[in-house]
Amino acid sequence: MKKINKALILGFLGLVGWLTSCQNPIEGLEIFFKKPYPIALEAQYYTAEGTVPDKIQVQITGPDQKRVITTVNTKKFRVTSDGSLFLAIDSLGVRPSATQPLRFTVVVQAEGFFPSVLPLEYTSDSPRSVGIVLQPLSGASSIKQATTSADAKGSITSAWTFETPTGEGTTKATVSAGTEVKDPAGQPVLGKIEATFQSLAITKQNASLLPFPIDNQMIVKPLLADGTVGSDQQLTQLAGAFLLQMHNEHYQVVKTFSQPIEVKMPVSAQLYNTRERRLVAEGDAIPLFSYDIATNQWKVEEAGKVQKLANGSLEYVARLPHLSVWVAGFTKQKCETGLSFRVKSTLPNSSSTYQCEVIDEVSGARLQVFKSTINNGEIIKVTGLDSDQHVRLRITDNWSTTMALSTLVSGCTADVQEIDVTTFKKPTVKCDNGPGFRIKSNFPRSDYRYTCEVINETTKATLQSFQTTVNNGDVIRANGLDSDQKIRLKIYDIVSAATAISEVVESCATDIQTLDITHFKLPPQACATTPTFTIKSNLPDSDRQYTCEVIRADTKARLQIFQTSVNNGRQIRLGGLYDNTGSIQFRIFDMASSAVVTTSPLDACSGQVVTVELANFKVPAPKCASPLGFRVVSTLPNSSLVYQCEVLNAATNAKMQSFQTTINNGEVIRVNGLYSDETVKLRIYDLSSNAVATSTAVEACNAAIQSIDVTSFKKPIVKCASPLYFRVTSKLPTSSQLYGCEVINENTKAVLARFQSTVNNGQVLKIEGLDSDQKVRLRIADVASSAVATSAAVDACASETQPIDLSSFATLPPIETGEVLITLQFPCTEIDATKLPTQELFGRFRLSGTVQWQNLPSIKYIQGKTTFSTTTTLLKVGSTYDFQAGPAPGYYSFSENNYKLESSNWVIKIKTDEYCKK
Amino acid sequence: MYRNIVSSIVLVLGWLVASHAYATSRDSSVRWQPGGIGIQVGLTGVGVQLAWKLKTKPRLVLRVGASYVGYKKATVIDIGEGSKIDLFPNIVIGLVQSSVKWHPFKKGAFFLTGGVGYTWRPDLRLTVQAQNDLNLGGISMKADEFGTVGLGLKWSPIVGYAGLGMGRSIPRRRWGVGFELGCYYLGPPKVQMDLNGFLETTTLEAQIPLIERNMSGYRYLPSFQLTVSYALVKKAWR
Repeated sequence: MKKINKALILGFLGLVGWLTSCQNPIEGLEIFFKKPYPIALEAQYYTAEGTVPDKIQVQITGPDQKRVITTVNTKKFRVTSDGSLFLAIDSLGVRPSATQPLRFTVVVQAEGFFPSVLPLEYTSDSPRSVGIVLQPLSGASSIKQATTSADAKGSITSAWTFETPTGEGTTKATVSAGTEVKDPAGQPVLGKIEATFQSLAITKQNASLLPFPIDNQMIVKPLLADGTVGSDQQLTQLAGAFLLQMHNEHYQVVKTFSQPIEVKMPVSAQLYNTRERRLVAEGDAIPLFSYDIATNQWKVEEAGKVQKLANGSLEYVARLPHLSVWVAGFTKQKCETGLSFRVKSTLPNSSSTYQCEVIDEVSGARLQVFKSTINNGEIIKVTGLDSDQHVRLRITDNWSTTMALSTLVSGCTADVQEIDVTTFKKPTVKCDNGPGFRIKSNFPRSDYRYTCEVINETTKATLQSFQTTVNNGDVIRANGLDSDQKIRLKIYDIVSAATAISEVVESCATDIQTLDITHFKLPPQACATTPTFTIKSNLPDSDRQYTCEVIRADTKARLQIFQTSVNNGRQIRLGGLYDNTGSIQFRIFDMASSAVVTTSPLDACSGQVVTVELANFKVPAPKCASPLGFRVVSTLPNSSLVYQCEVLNAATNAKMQSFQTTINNGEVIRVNGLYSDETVKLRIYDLSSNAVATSTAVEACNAAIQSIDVTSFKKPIVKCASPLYFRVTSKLPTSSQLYGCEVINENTKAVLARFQSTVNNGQVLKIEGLDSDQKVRLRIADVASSAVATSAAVDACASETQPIDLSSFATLPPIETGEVLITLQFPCTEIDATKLPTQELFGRFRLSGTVQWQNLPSIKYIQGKTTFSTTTTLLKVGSTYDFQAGPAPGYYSFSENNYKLESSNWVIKIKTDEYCKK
Repeated sequence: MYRNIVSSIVLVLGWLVASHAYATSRDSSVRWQPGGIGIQVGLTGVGVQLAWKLKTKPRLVLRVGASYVGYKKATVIDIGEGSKIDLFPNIVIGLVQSSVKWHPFKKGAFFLTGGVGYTWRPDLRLTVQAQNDLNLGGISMKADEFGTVGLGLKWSPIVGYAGLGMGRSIPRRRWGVGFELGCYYLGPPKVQMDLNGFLETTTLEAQIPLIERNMSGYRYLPSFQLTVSYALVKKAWR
């Protein structure tokens, strides 16, 4: 029984084991990226603040919705976290053409925002790119919605009126009863119809529900009534703009009506009619333009008319045959040919240029300013004017205030106009020399400098202003003046209000005339003789310095202060005194007591010799016979490094001396110049660690050697005295390409320095500022391959030039000026191309801090290389970018943000070696 | 709806067979009530089973039961460099089953058994999402770009069962214990994938037939159960 049981159990387990001996589920699995479909639509959705709402829903509707796919052929439409939506068209049907357009509608909904309904019509495979600002649901919004219903034939059963607020009032739209509503394909739109109506402001494009493609007020290439493409129109006077959209519950959009709908819009009475050159009035026609977002096409529509209401205000009435963005206003266009002006002049021909201005007649504004020669018969051309401008050409004389003005002409006038400059003055020239003025003065010679001015006699304008000495007989010349003017020289006295003015002379005269300044007042003169003070002292001679002071006798105000020795018999002669200084006193302060000696008052220029007796002065302490010594106690290695030392007064901590010296162990620091009455301390600073060593207080004349302990000081980091040099050996052609270089500590592997440099063959790389006592390596990474060159480990302070071999580096593909090469580089010498899941990546970029992405050319794998790369002229070196790449447009799996583009060769190192040949 | 119908059919069939056995064994009265009730705990979860002994063939016992096990606890996996992935498993085995036990030895508790069952959630599901930006070989992939990966394996809802064990479903005394080793036949699994995001760009979905071929052996579900039984009828019937 037991045997049977055992046999049965073992058999059963064996059976289960056999049954479950399963295969690896992913055996033989090969995953590649799908080949993406070309982009049909690249849309970016964001709020006015530049953010992207959460949980954005995407719905595709319309007659050709089944043909809309993602770029990887799925139906999982999504708006990415940065607001991007990419759509493609499948390859199952015919390609869109003018005869077989492809129509669908993209509906994007986010909580708290109006749905964005974007109808699209493709007549070719050209991709569309739109940026849509999602508008928040708000009662204050200018976006208004209204609903009605259409019967089984798509007819609006009763008259339907709805409105939206504008700055001037409300804009009202009326759909007449019985109007049939149809989609772009001409199919009736049935059921509940919702209208979205919004007044638009050109200056607030972020507030528009749909893209409002007016840049610089320009309506680009509108279709004319005959179907031809017209020239760009620039809005000059905007009457108003609005957006009107309708769709049913299934987002089947309304495009046309069986009869036009009427829109009435208030018009400002201040609107200027540029055609009539007056304010707009009843009966005026204002041009009307429509923009079809589906086809991205402007069209010139039948103009609406201005009518007057009972209350006197004006309104604009237009009849709309279809739904679009609508803009009413006056426009202008660029003139195809420019204006021509023929110069009439009596001036001699010259290459001198004159300022020419094109003046707008209405505003008086200078539309253009340029320089031109104005020789007789010359034609001056003016281009770039607009059809609605009425202008004059104005030329200003270089040598007078005269202006020449042409007659008033329209900006597009083809006839040559005449401009008369015969009233202009003959040009003036610079004088080769100038008049001279000889000074007549009674004063003794001095260095006093007087202010001189050269004045135009007619305009009284100061032509030159300078300072110079004006001693008797000096000649002052006024050079560099313009010809054809009369001038005077004017000199200002420095001690009175007197002035001296020369006679009138020609600016180009060369003769010398006398200019009398004898009426000027004499300035103070330095004393010819000054007092001398002879010291009488019974103190022993010493080198100690006493404070001396010169003061005014009357006010006691200090005139001079200085220090000097005052040994017996010493003579002190004063300087810097003037004849207007007056009476002075001289005094000396004792340094060992409070005694002061002061002389009697005497004249500053007296030249007297006065004896000054240092009565009551006490004998100062004598100088120490020998220097005070401090022996350094240190654990630092001996070096030539000097440290900051200070000798301090032990009583007051005042600094007495400051010097620098080495502080090697056992060294004696000697302090000279101390006096016997002083008690001092020596203080030494370690600036690298902020440690301070201070000795004990000691009498200045102590003959015993003191000690000062600097064992708390840190070992100094000594920089290498000379740079470390590496010579590059390379097979690369000479180029300005920068390579990343790193200096690495051999022991810690820490990066000591990181820099970029060219690495041409024979080039010497200089590395400064390395610390001594370490071994280092130089490492350079290739930019064209994964190769890295590393030097031998060398002493950081090695004086010989070290070699570094870059012969394993690969040659870069040539980069044209203005191009940027983007390279994704794998960390291997050879790639197993069969492992690569794709051979093409799709990238895009934006300036960091902005929301608008731009696509890059596809980044392709180059056979035999270890890189994917592309070149582009869209990126600018020095700018900072966000960058994304992925296997298909809209699927940017890999990203790098805030990357500053330092050079035209942008290398992104991929760390994975998954695709390397092993 | 479909699952309710099928599970009801399995239970009713089992009950009909049991009642028929009683009806044929006793001319005058029919015993509808089961002879024993058991509670089971095992790899397929916890469950309950009712048992009827066939009077004409006392070594045969018919069982009808149901079991359930579920696991839905989310798990975070750190794949290095600060990158984390959330796993949301959704594993439910819910089973109703009818089986016949045969005790080959008159006095022994050893038995062989076979039957059929119905499972209303014959699949295993796993959802994978990135919790934060993933650092993959020096390149970062945003969590929303990684997207959501939904993986699933689905088997046939009708399953066969064979097993052996020790123990009586209608114990000779009031209480009994036993164990059972068995194996369900599920049929080859179907692979389900719902990819949103990065994997959407790959040819992975096109590889589903290959994965299904590789997994065609994954058609058996082993089972081990411990059972506690209680006799509901008087001793004469046991």
